Amino acid sequence: MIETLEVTRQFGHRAALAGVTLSIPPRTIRLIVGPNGAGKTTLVRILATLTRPTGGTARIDGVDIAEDPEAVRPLIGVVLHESLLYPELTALENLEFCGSLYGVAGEARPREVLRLVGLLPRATDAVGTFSMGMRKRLSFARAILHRPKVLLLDEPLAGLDREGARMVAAFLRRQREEGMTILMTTHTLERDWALGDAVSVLHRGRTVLERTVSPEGLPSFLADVEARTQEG
Amino acid sequence: MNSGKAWSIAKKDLRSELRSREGATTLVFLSLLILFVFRGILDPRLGARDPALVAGILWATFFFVGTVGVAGTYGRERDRGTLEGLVLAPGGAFAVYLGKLAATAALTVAVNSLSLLFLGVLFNYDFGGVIVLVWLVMLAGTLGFLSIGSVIAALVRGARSRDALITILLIPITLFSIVMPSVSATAALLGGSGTLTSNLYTMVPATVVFVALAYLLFPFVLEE
Amino acid sequence: MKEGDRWGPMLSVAWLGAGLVHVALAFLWAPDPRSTSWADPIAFRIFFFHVPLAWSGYLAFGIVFAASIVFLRTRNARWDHLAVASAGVGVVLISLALVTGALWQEAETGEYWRWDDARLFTTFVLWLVYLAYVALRSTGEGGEGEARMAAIYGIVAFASVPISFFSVRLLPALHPPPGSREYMTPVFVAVLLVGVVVFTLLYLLLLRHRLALLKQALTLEEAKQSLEGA
Repeated sequence: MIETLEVTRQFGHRAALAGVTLSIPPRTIRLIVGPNGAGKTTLVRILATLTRPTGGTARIDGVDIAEDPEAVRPLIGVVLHESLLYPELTALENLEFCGSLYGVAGEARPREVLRLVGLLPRATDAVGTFSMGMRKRLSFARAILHRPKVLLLDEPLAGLDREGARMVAAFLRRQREEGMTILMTTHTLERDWALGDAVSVLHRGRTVLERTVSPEGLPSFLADVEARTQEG
Repeated sequence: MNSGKAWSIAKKDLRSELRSREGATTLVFLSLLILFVFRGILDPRLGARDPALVAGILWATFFFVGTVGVAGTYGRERDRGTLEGLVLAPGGAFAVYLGKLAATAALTVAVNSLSLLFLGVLFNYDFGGVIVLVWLVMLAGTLGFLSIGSVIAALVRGARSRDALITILLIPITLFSIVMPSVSATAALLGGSGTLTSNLYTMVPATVVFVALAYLLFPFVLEE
Repeated sequence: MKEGDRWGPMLSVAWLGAGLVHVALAFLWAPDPRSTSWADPIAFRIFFFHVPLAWSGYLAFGIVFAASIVFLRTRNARWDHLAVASAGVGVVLISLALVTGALWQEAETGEYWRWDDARLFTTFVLWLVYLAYVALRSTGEGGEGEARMAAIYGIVAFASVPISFFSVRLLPALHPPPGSREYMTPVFVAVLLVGVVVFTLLYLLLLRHRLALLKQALTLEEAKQSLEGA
């Protein structure tokens, strides 16, 4: 579903990504792990067609991102660090606006996704009054509003407490059951590893490791990650 | 290009503005401030009888209101991180440009109309029957100015001291192609020398060229 | 200078040679236009420097424009470097063009400026464009973001210069500078052309120099970064 081959992002001599190769099958959750500065956000932005790659190829559902970004956009739902929400508008208005951009008319679908993330009671409240956890949930609702095939999430569990993280994990698993392909980044491997069907490790802009991790295999995996990310 | 996208964005911008009044308040205060400054520094005996003077004051005001207005439009989206949402949506970059241009133009024209009123009061100036044409010239000039102002504002939305930068960047581009002809046309209407039509003959093609440049370049402008 | 650098010395010699010829022509050979409406026959020689300076200033920004377009398409940093270097040289050339233009204007008519001279005016607009471009590049962002911003502005600003030119032509009270037709004798034009060649060579020389400096600065930056273990 998501295929990249030696994707790079560099200018002059500075490289944010030096060669990322991924193959993510449909209906799976892929964890992209790496310390801050490894290039995780850049990778998400490239796949989301927000940033253009300087080399390599990337495909989502067979569509080449660099050649035809417009065709990719309806297929993806994105959650970034910055919320894409307008604080002065209500939750419902935000979703209706987003819907109008994606060709989803009316209130029905916005209400449905609000219910899914447990925000229906607050539908007519301004997003500016929401807590961070609520905004995160609304961001997820926004991302799935137009029924994309792929979810691209940049550190979706960051800043959430235990309960919030549990809810998001359950939500993501539910989306996967319904056919979604999910790519999410994180820098807390120890906490989040179980969420992914497979884990890709990013170090200094390159994919250095890729593995399906079982509970028994976790210690050796963590050791491998240590080893690979110490090298310069 | 998706005109539905442009229309949705324009509506959203206007709704946001009505809700928060952020932009409008700033612009109205700015307009008053500029007019007060002019009122203060000019010799009261000069009065406002000179058409060139009145036209100049008006357009100085319109210029700065336009600059701040368009800076705010893209500045706010960028600071809140919501601009990515507009780029992510299908429909292309030009639709974003058009939608925001429409909303910004509506807001700016409204404030500029108030400026006409403020000037009339502050300077005891009676526009007379020609006010409608003056308003139309303001409309044309504002649209022309914003057509390229949007591109520049969006371009430098992430730079340091972007507000000052926008003004510096816009002056060479618009001062002689849009602002001066607008001043000249306005002065002509108010009884001074010059003609209305020859100035429109330059402003309209200039605006068309600016919109064409926006069409070609806005996808690059919105990149990050 | 590097060993393999043949162009540098050749260019310099060519420029020096042509420059000397040009100066000689301008001051010695071109006839005094006592018969025309020139007020100051000596000051008019400034003209031989003003026009080529303006020309090279326009050339420099034309290069900025072209390099900006190529950069947006290829994203190759080299084109961005070309744009920066060309703008740096051009701003000096155009400033000198303005100064010489004003000096000549003052000697001719007693005033340093005429708003209704369309050509002088357009040179002024280009000067403002240069200043804005330099201001944009000095925000210190660096990297592809700055290059992209500058490229887009370079394109927009250059396109706006002819628009401004046409706008001013239509403003009222526009009349051509004095004696604009009468002095265009073949001799005059020949000297001007030599001047154009001279200043084009000067532009190229300065451009190469700036590019070399830029390259050195980048190499230094690179070395620093790898030392810091980035």
